[in-house]
Amino acid sequence: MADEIQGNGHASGNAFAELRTLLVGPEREQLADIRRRLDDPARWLQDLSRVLPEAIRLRRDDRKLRLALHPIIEESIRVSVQRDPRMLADALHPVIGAAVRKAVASALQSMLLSLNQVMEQSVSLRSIRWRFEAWRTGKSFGEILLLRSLLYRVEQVFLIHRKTGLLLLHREASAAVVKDADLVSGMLTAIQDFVRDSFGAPESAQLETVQVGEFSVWIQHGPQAILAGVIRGAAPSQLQTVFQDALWHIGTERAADLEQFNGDASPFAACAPDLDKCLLGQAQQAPKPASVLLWIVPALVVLALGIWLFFSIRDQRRWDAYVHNLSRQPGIVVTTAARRGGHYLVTGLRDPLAADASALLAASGIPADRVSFEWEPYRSSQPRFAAVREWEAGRDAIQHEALYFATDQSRITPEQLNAIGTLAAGMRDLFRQSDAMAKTVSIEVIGHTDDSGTEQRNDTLARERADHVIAALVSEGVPVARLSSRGASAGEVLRPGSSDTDRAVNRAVTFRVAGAP
Amino acid sequence: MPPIQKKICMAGAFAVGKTSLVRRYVESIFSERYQTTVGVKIDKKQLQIGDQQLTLVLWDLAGEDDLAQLRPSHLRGASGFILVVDGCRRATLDAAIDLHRRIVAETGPVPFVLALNKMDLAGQWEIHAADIEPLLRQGWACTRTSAKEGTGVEELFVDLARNMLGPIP
Repeated sequence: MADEIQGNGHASGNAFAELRTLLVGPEREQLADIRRRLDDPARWLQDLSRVLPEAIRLRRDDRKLRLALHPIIEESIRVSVQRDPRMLADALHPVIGAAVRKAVASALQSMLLSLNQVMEQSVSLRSIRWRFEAWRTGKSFGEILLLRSLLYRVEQVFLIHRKTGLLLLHREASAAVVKDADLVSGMLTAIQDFVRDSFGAPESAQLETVQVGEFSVWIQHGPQAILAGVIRGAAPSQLQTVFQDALWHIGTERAADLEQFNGDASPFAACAPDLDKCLLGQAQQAPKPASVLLWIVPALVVLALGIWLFFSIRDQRRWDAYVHNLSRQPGIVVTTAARRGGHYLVTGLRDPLAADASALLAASGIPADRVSFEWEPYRSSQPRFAAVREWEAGRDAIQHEALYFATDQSRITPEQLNAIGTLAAGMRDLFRQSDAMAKTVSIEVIGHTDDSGTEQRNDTLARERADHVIAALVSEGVPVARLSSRGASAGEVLRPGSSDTDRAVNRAVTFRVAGAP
Repeated sequence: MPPIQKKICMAGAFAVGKTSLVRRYVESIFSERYQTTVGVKIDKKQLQIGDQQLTLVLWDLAGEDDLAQLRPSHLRGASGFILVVDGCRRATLDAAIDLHRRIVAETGPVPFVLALNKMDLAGQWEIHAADIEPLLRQGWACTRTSAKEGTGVEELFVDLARNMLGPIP
């Protein structure tokens, strides 16, 4: 029984194992397979490689994936370039080739443009004017060219969606005339199509400038957008680079917005600073209105100078004339006539008989207070002065003479007759000399008395004394017409006093010569 | 909602009255000479569809007898178009059907409206309901307009605008 049980037990163990195999066999194999897979990295790789491309595609828009891959790709490129630069160069060649060609073409165009400007200006009338200006101002022709030719203003800038011709953003300089920018933008695009279609240009050819009078429109083309600048005046070709840079920056910053543009231009408002950078201009330097003061001051200076010059020349002429006149005067020898400051000094020799230098000065128009004289007196040998001096000596001799009388007497004594003879001779000489000098001279014979006796008697006595002397002189040949007599007045006392000597001196007849040569 | 702009084109055979159809309804700064020189005149129509401010930039393409003259470059980027037919001239409908084919080839399937113009001359019409029927079955949007009386023009723009904006939530 126990054996049976044992035998049964063995049999049942096998059966259990068989049952287990039957029940969970497939799962156990799967489990073993999974375990093998887990233990074998080669198998993981196979599995992962099957799903990786799809997984990455699913996560294409995931920023995390991009961030994760970014350094790896960068590093890979670096390693690749280190290992064999030719490979990357080959890969980039088609892109770089086109880019370089475009850049070179653009640079050449810019250069040609500026060259054209210079050539154009080197032969025009305007250039001759500029050359004159350069010569006048001492600047180089190049400087003037820059100053005068590059006057422009970018008045408006349009950012246009290339495909639809719709306006993305429009910026304008203050005071620019702006028509409906939406329509202008569309029309600009249409005109480009028109030019391209009409003249059979290839699709890649683009309209780059439109010139209308003083306005020109410069158009830069990007893959998604167009930048058009409306410029008044002649802009330098460097402006193209500014436009290019702005468009490139917008193109890279707003690539997604440009790609997905559906008519909503609001994201492009952020590009305003880029467009504003294009609103350049070089203002014409308006010639500054010359300050009135700038004219008045020199005018006043010139006027003052003129006035000063006029007066100083006039004064100099007057002075020269005066000095000349002075030195021609008989009896005056001018040794120096100098001017110190505004004052004149004349030194020299002067005969007392010569003309009065100050009186001559009054006639010349020179103020007397501006001139001083230093005269050394001298006797001129001029014949005229000699004659005058001789006449004066004769006159003085006559005037110093006196005939004395006894108290209450008017008779000419015989002793007096001798003296009268001498006097008459002197008088005749004087008259002769006067006649020679064409001068009319007369002689007063004045009778005097002493203070004794009555006044009436004295008056009669004085006149009698004078008359008696005249009669004696006439008898000695003196022309009577030249003689006159009178009694002396109270003020003509010869010697005041009442002593005998005083009285003797006052009982006299004296002579006065009237007139001078 | 930010305002949006859409480019639309207007095409049709010669002298169907395209320009006179829209003249009173659009803002314009260019003279009609542009059509004969550049081949297109650009006008602007502002609309309010629900909350949406919409500016339609309308490219009024030069009318032509020879369809080969249509410039594909003018159609590029258009979000919709208007085909104008002179109801009094049967040939202009045929031209419109051909234009439609050519335009769609360039723009892809974008909304459009067929404007049957000169409604005021209904008595002289050469185009009849039977001619339009097959087009309506193909899903064409058709509307009758009169440039002279101004009938249906505003609706023309509004219909097209609604189609372009899609269903409004």
